[in-house]
Amino acid sequence: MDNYALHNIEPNVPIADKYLTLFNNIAQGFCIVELLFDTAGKPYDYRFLEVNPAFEKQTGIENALGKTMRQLQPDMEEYWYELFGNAVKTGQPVHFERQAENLAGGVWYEVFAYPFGNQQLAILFNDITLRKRLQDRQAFLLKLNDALRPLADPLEIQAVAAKLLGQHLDVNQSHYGEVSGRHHHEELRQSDDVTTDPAISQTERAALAAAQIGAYIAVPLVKKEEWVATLSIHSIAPRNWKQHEIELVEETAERIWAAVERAKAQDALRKSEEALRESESLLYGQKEAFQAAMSGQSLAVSLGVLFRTAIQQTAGEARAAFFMIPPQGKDLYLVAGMSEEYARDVNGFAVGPESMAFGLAVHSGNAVITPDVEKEPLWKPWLWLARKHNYRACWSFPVRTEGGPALGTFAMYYQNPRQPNARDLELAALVSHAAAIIMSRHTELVERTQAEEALRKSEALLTTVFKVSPIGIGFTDLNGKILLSNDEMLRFQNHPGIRAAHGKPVTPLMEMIFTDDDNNKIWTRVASIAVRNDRDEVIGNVSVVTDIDELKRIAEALQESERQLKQLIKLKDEFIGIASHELKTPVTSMKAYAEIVHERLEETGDHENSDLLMRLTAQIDRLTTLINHLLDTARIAEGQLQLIVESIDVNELLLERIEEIKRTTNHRFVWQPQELPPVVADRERIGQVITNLLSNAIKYSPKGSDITINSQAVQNGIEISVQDRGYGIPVSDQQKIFDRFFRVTANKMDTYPGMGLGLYITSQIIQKHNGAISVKSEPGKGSVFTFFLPYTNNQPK
Amino acid sequence: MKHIVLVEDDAAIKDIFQLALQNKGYTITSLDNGDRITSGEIESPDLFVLDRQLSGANGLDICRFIKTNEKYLNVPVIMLSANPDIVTLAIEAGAEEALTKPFSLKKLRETILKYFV
Repeated sequence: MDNYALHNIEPNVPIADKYLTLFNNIAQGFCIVELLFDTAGKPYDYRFLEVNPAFEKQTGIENALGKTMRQLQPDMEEYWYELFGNAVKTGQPVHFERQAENLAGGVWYEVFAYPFGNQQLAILFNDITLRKRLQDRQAFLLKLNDALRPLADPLEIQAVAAKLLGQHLDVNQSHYGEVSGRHHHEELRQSDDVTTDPAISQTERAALAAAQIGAYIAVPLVKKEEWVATLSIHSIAPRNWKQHEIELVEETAERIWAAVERAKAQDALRKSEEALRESESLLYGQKEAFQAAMSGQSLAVSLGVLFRTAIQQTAGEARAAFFMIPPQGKDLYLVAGMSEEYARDVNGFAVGPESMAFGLAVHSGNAVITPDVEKEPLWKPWLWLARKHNYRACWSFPVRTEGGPALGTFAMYYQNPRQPNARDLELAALVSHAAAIIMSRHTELVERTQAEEALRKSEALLTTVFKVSPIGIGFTDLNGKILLSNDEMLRFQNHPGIRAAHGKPVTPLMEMIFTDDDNNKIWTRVASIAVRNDRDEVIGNVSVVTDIDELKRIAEALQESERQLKQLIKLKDEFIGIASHELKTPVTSMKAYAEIVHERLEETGDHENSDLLMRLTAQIDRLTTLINHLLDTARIAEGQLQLIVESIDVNELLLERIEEIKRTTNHRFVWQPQELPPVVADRERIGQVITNLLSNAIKYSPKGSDITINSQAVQNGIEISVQDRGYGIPVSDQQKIFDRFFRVTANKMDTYPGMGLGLYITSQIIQKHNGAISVKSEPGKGSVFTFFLPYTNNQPK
Repeated sequence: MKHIVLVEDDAAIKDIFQLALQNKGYTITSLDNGDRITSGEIESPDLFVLDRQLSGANGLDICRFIKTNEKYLNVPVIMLSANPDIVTLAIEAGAEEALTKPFSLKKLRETILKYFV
């Protein structure tokens, strides 16, 4: 065999030796073939003339020498014959890479063929299956990458990748499916022929047959010890799966996973970028709104910026509005957003549970979401509003600061029914929060402005008051130096009172004469109080000096006029005293003359004239009484009513006075004398009291009516009352009847004019006795006058 | 005849005394003031009636003189006044009694009569 070969490569033997060694030792396969052509000149086979040891290794063909390829390997691809035939025909060497699918399990060869001699070829070849597979794999993976790169949807990635893999491996089905929550490790499974595979149970086989699966590979994808997905490929026909195919499926699964992850990450990134852009725009809007609020823009402007930002965020789908409760207010009004007409329609909506949407949102502090106003029964009273302004969805969010009260609401309106999603709620929360800051700041600003204004006004007022005050006010330091003073104080800079006050906590009000620079003496009133700082240290004094010169003069004038008035009153009372005294002397004579004439007429029996004289006497008695009253009043005014007290029997006195007065009237006196202890009193004055009460009773009651006298001992004294059945005293007058010169005025009484002194004197006498007098009266039924006399009147009154 | 000395500057009162007491056995000496008493010129009567308010010396002063003068010491004195406080003042001045104006004829007679029973 060897010899045969050598023979054929003659004639260069020595060189041939060297090549033979090389030929036998190279790793590449080498052979010399003779091409065989059919009658048409078409190459149809070749015969092996020489093969080296590596040939068998590379091709798996044994004992090739002398045999043809078709003999050795009948299913060799046709192109091999064509390629080698062409080289022989053209006489040009060829270099190509081709697969021999049925040789040694499908081997790729790189082939160099050199034609020489008579239709012979020297063929040098090498197994490049591994490189080819790598290239193939590389090409597939590149294609996969290119296909997947632009894809963002994980499902699309999975579908495209599975499809490409299916095409690449030429299988019927390829499927990638994610699983989750499987913690047990799934094994790689494969079957070349499910109908014969002993590892497959009958049930499985039936299921696989139903699914038209003849062979399959299922590659589990395990990430972080967790089975996350399976990539499986199916073939209808049985198939001898190759290791590199399994590896490619595995690699593809990894690539799909990576691509999905990338897509997910990109999606997340895109979403977050989008969110960022949105929140950037929202933040920018917020910032603009805050800036507007800070720069003192109106609420409508700053909230306007905010609500426009909010609307932008909804891509213009929504309308929005802010409502606010004004400070100290109760009702909501629209601050920004919607339309002026809407503002007119809703302003003044009350906050409360009965109020829908924004009013309720403020009241409850919770968002009030109405996805469709037409379907919300509570909206019925406001449907006209929603219809007029063309919205179906209305969401109201309370605007409130952290822990603070609700300031207002942020409302969003949609033309179509709509339920808010998480993002809508997030947006509303952000906008409401920003609005709360702006509104609360606005409220603060308004309040502060008001407070500052009030302060400024009160300061201005204080300054004015301080400056123009007619009272001198000055602040002196510890050295007594005036640091601050008002205009009036300039007159009193050297006032001794200020120096005297120096260092003392409080100097009470003093009146002092101040001598000014022009030597004028001015009456002043000065007071001072120490001023302390925050650490309670005295830092000076505030002194107040008032010019009371005028006041003093007025007071003196007043005192003088008061003195003069008192003098006048005294003179008047003296005059009354003297006058009444002087009057009495002629009255005494008149009375006596009348009595003398009366006596004489009686003696001559001229009773008619004697009676006239008695009437004259009665009138003189009345005159005497009046004079006595004047005199007593003058005495009381002068404080000269003096009592001459002794132990008296009031029963006796009563009897005496009743008997005396009985003669002058036709009234009936009813009196049941009771035993009375003696009292210490002025007999004459008490008699005067009794007479006075009796004559009043006569005066103020109808002729002939009863006058009831009651006398009884009570605790510590006696009580005497005189009751008439007369006209009575109006309630309004009852308290006044004991006043000086007070007269009860009633039509029936004007027949008894008087000076209104009787009861005054009476009460004064009783008081002088430490007694008491009172009246009970009912108009039309009469009056009861009751006086009390203590047994002794040793307590001076 | 009982002798009464009346010191009174009011003519009407003097007249009343005359009329009230005439034909009753009294002799009345009316004086305008107390000069003739303080001088001791007037003989000691049975009764002095002195008005308090006189143009010259006060009736109470005359009373005090009478009550301290040996010549008139035992002669009762009745003071006359329109002022009710005469009652106390008269007693203080040593007078036996006081008669307040106005008085009734009856009262005058009763008072005088007391000193002649």
